[in-house]
Amino acid sequence: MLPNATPEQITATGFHRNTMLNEEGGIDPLEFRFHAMTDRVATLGTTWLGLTTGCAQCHTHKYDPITHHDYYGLMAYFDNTLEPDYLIPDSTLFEKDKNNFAKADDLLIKLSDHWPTHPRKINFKPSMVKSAKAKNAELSIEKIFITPSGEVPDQDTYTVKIKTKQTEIAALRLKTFTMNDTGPGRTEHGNFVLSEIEVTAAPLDGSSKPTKIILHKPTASVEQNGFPVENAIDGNRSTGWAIHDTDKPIHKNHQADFQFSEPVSHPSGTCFTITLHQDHGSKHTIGSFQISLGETSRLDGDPKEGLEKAYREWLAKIKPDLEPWHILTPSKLESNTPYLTVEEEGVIFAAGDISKHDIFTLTFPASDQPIHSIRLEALADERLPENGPGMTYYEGRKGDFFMSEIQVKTDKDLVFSGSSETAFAAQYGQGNAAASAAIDGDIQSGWSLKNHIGTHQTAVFNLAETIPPGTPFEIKMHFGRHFASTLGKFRISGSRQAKVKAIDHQGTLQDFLLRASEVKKQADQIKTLRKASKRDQTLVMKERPSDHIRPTYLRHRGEYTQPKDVVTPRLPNAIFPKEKEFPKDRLALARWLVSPDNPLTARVVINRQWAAFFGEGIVPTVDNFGMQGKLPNNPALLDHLAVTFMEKNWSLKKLHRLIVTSATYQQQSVIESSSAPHFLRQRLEAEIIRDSALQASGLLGSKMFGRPVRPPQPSGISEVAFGSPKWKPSQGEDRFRRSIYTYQKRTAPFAMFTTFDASSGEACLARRDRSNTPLQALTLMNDPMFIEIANSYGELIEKSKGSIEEKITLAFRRLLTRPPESQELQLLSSFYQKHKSWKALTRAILSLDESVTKN
Amino acid sequence: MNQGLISRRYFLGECGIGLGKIAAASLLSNNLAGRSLEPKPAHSQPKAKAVIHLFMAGAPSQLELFDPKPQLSKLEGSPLPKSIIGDQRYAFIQPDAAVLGPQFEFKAYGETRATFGSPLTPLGAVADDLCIIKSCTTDQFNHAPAQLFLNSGFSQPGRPCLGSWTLYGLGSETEDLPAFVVMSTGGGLSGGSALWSSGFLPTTYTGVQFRKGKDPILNLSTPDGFSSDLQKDTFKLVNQLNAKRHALINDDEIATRMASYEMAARLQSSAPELMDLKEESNETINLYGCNRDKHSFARACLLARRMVQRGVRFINIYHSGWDAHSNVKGSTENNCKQTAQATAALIQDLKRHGLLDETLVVWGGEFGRTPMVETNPALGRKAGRDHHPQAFTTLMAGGGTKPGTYGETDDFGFHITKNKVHVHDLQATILHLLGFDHERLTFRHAGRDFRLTDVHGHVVKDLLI
Repeated sequence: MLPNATPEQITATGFHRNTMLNEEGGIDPLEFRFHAMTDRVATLGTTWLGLTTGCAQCHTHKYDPITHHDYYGLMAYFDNTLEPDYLIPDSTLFEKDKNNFAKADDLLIKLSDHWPTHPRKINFKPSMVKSAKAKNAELSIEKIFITPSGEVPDQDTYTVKIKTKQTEIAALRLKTFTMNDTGPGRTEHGNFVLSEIEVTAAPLDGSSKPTKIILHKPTASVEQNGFPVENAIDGNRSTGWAIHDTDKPIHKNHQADFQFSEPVSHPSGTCFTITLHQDHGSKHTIGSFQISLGETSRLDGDPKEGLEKAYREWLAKIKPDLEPWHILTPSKLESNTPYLTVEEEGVIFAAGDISKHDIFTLTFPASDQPIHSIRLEALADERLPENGPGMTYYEGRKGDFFMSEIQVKTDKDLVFSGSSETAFAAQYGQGNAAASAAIDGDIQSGWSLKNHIGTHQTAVFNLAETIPPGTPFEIKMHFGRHFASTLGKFRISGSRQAKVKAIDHQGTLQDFLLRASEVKKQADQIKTLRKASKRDQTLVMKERPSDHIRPTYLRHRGEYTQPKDVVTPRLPNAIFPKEKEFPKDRLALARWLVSPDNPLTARVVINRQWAAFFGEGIVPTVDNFGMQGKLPNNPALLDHLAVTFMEKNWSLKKLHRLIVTSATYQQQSVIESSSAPHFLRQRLEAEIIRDSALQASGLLGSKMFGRPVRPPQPSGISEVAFGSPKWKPSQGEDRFRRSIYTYQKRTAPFAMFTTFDASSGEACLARRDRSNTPLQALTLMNDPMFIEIANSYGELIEKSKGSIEEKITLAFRRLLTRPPESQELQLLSSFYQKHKSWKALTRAILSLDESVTKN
Repeated sequence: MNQGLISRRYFLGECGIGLGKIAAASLLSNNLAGRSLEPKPAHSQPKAKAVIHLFMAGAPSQLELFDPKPQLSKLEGSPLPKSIIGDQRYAFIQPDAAVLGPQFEFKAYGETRATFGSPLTPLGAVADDLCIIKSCTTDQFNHAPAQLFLNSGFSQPGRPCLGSWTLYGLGSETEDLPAFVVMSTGGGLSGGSALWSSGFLPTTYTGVQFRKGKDPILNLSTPDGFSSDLQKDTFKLVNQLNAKRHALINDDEIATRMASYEMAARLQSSAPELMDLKEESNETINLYGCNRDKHSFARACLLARRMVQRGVRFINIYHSGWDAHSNVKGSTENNCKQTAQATAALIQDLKRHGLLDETLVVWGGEFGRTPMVETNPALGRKAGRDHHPQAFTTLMAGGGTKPGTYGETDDFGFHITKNKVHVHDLQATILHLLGFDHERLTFRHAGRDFRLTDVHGHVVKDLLI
């Protein structure tokens, strides 16, 4: 609302988002929104105006001049809001993402370079491996890796059988492996000689006999002088291929490729038998090897050729789904709860409230093209929870949607013939939440994304018959489950094709590469780089646009189900003059609250501060400045401080200084030292008890801002809380931060705070009770957090220099800010003499009444 | 202020440990902030001195347990007449969902001919002690709001619960134990700690949780590494120093704090003594069907009897797990297995100890369950029942209640046809048994006088002896 609001200012609007939410299946989310609204009005009254507004929710206030209409007039200021999540801008992350995106773009351009140089090499698991001499042949399934073992024979013959359904096999690769520091051959220096390689092929169904494959055009990674690779296919077993080239290291993986004179294909599949003769003698046998078969005749051929072929094949497969879609823009949009806006290029955006059964009715003008299939693109957007595409914000996966039905109608309801989608939620034990579930006539099933939040996804619904050109039609979409789960951003398109399927790409070479298993590693890297960093988010309030103002109703007897008159923003006459124009919106209200025209806020604030210092306010009823409240003890003082406070630009710090340096405040210490009755003593608030204990023990951390932290508390603390959330105590500095940073959960509050009367945060309270119970005694003495504090406190005293008396005095002063009197010192001293433990002593000091009391 | 003088004189004379009754009296009668736990007279002679509320969180099915509807078996598979359902909306089912017949045989017990479904057979033994209200109704459809509504008369957190109102009105009769105790079995509670909150009443009236772990009360046991001698000396030192301070500035809050340390020290022995069931006979243990050491609903019931014996005023035992959206048969059997015998045992046991007349036992959930079946393949549910605020059954026993069955529902168990008992009526009646006029038990907050029953509620005289 504030023009050019900074992120800090936007974040600050979250003050009013600390209202409660009920996630049970049976709730009406809008009813709970109404409860949140009453909380906001109450908070406004208590915090800024010192007024109890609650009564006027049901009827005109009995005592205070707040009418039933005034109450809803106050509510109207807050009612016209949206309640989105706000992703906090982060320049570091922005830069990081920018770099990553650039890197991804760069990698994408180079992606085709990674197309493997062995585009069609396929490794098979041999069905049989045999060595003529060795006893065993080890066969590793993963690597298709064979290791003849046992006593190494001088000569050997290996037979390998490979069965495959693959057709067009045109090449073979023999790859040999080193074994630790030896090999690939079995001789001591690692050489081998392959005398001859023979390959036969037979159809798997046994319809014909094995035929010998003629091998030619061999290549090898190394050839020993006098032992070229051609020797392995020359039909002469006294010559062979060997790898001992004096210029190159021998202990390397070496390979040889052989091409078939003709590609081999059998419709039923082929059984290849490969025989490796190694007749040279003196252990010139292969230790470890692998055989691959290839579809293309050139296993190390031009990568581009393989890529182009693969792309062509892929494209042929998906071609029918690349049919052009034309975007359909509705001429009329209707919705029972959220409001819909058409943005650019036919994109429709939903905003506002959602209910458990939202229905969008989109009316489309006649198209000049026939429509046989309807495409629904669900689109991600930063304005939606977790970037959408859905608006789910409670109970279900945040940002998801659940489209239970989609219906298309001309002058009759149209029947669907099929559907497809690019992603869906897998449902445990049940059918999938696929697009088909949105056309099955069952309102309980539907299309949903779940694990694909924050991405664009598409569904296509094929119609059984064409919508002819020139026919207007209507699309109705139903959303919701037992929680509100409406789609937030989408677009509708039409196609003339009957069987087109949903795809999530344009069919470009880059689209192909990003999906190809051959370059998966690089593609995954690109996908990771393309993911935007997760930013911190916070809850904020945002004003609804002027063309979608939410009317505020007076609710008869305060009941959500009984809306009556529409009420516009207004303030009670008692605090706002009749003749002036009411602040028109939240911003104007905020400005009025801190304007000199408002008689209450400054007085209410300084009175609360005064009460915090003196135990009682100048107006003793700090939470009630109304007719039921008490009159100020000293009106002039109240007014003086209120005016000074405003003049000093509402600085609380300056106000505090003014109060503590005043004669009145300093007088208290005089009273304290006498034995006169003392009305100002009061027990410290829970948070201050913890903070002062941390301070005395030297543990208190000074870190500011950031996420909430979890100080230790007794185990079993949350056993009855719904979902039994675990409380994992923070470590390091976070463990000892000021209590204001402690994590708060209203259904399972921090135990020590509750014990010392902290509110559980369900409603705004201007004053707390101050009880005095045995549970507090047990907490101070036994709670693990206080034991930890006492231990550090004790260590600090132990390490300090001085006599025992001086140490006791130090321990006493650190918490109580005064030296012990002689009798006190005596008691403490004899306690220490007996137990010889500083930790025990500090624990006792922490447990004193004076330690938890403002004196 | 008399009590200030008393304690001052006392502490000046004899400071140190062993402050005993006087300091405790100071704690209990501390009126400074209007938060007394001192025993107080009610508006009239109470019938019940203590309440044990067995809260069946999640809502048991009245149609399986108390309210047999053979008509539902006949209708099974078809929807209810539209006129019956009206405009009620459901969380998980459609209003035209088919009807599901009762899943169990029913049998009548005792002279009162109280009717129970077979999983509640153990209750047959106490049938003639039970006041069975088949015509309870609530305004709330969801668990958390309905649980809060039953406890505090309001659907949102922030108001005092029944136990807190009771303490506010009657004070405490025990100096060694908390007067309002909460136990829970069977899983998390959707209403959370707001269910035993004192709301805007002073926090002293908040229920104290007895937990299942080593320490029934948080921080009850002396931490490891601190000997009992050291603990004793620490208590002593703290009270000595507090007494010095009190002598100097004479603030009654210090006396109260000293008393609270006294009571803390006593709690350290009285609570473990309470929890230690070794003195209970095997016969008693078997009656409840519990294990002496293992946390269970049955053990909580036995502990509740021991608490009543020790002067605890209000005991909540929550058993959650009744929310049978699927398999209402199995869920009911399972929950009854954990609760039925113990409930009967508690009533029998209170009776033979002569405590039932002055102890009110309440058993029930936050609403009922639909006559219609809940089936939802997408959620993996079948043969369940959804929430039903219109009609449910609550049991009471002892504390001045009249045995017998009260109220009727229509042939489908959907609507109440006779003697409707609204949640506010139930609350007014319980307060009446405790000796209160529910319209006079008020607390001024935020500019108005609040009541447990808001501006509603009637005492149901027919339920009283």
